[in-house]
Amino acid sequence: MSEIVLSAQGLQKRFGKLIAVNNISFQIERGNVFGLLGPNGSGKSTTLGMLLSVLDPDGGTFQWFGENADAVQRRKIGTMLEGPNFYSYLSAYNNLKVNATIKEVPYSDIERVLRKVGLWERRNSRYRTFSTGMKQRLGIANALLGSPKLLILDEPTNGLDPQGIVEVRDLITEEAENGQTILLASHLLDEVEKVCTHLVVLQKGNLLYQGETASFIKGKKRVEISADDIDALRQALQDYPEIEKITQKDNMLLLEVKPDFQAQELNKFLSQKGITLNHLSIEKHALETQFLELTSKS
Amino acid sequence: MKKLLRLEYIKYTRSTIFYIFIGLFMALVALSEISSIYLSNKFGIKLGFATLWPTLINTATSMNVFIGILIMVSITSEYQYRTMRQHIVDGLDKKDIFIAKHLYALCLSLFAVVFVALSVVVAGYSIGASTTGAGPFDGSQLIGRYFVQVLGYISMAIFFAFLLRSTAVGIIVYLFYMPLESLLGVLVSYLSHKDTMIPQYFPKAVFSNIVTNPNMAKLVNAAKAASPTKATIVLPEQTNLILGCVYIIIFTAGSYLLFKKRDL
Repeated sequence: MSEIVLSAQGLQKRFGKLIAVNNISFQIERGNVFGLLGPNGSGKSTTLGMLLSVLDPDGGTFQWFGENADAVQRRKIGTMLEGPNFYSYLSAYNNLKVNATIKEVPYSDIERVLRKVGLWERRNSRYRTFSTGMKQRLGIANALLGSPKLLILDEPTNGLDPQGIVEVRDLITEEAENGQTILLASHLLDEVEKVCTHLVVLQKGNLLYQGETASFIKGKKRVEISADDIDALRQALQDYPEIEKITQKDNMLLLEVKPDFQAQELNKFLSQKGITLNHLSIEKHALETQFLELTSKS
Repeated sequence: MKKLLRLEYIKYTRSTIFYIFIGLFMALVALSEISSIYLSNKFGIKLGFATLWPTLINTATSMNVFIGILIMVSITSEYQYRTMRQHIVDGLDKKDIFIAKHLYALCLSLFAVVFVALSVVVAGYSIGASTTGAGPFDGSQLIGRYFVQVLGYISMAIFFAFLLRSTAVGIIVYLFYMPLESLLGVLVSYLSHKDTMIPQYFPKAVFSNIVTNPNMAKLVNAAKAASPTKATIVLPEQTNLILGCVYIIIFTAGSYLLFKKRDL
């Protein structure tokens, strides 16, 4: 039986009249790379804030590693919540020393994590002299300190340039490949799609989806096709069993197709009907499509 | 406890602000003591150890505000840079953070007490206070009162820090509270149309009168003798000491409730 790392039931949080998180429940198993996905203001950071005891929930319960959440359990978790938070006047090394003292981790581990994020050479530089990317990497080093059982990263690529995004994403991917359990909160669909095995989708504090990323994407595919005679194409597609919905956009037909749809089969079918396609593409950003569809419904 | 002390040690012994405020405190205490001795000499007052302790401790009390601001900055900057929040996330309890801040405050108070005590002994020997026949520790019992007084100013600063959570606003309120309380006292006296003791029960008045200036005490006694029917101008030192301890408890409990109740 797989080990449950986090189990949350009925979490709720209000800020005055605003319901920031509305009765959400989910669980994370060991080895999951778990995405918390939602647009800005959907309740991702509030949810993490409650789980990490910086916000008091108005309702619900949660357990870390099968036990009641307390400071001892949090020491087993490496976290970067809403960006890196460090003392500007302290060096990178001394900032990590603060966390190592809290987590009761030997100071020798600081070198390992600083080397991992490529900041060992800058260990004696003050935090305020770091670039945004370096600060973010130090935040990740801080989270990796003491080899935590779970890594929580909240918008880890926020404010980074493309190079920085790639560096941070590579770090996360490397950790995930090493079997690290990760909870990644992001509004960047591409990021979640590339890294996460499981996901929870939030909007306006409500849980819209929970499950495997593959199942979420697999549900539907979108295909764009076009031919010289668009009406004849549309007519011919009425008889094709793998299509669930057809919409026209300018000179293009957008098809919602079943999961086992095969492009070559459709092409063969249309050619038998005397229709030659001048455009056929399967949408690459399946998560984006599915996410937008889901959030627009709610 | 050791872990919390180590944590505060890593954070503050590498802070420039820490050294600036400690340096200011030491320099200004020394300067004010030198001025006090100079003035005493000018008026022909011979200072022996028994009078030197209350005189110099009283002089040093006005510098407690630097210790108060230092501890206030240490709390508000943790809010500002979200490091307090990070500590919770990394595995401390709110209770741990609260204790750590009070341990830091206690260390600063002890430092202030030790520095003032040493400065009195050094000043005493340098002006020949031992020649009056008094030993260097005659009158040193006041240092205990001074310790309570420092804790009082610090507990008030900690309360403002947890209440306001902003360095700039905190310092302004803390500094302006002192004259504001005096003004409030005048207003209360004016509205009551008679001599009233109420302003003497205000926290700043209580803290500052835990250690009274011996010359002020003489003036008070003279005023009482001249007009025995009028109310006493200041509360007895013993009453101030007890009230000071009560205020420290109130400020500390208030700070804890504020910190515990609010989200980070």
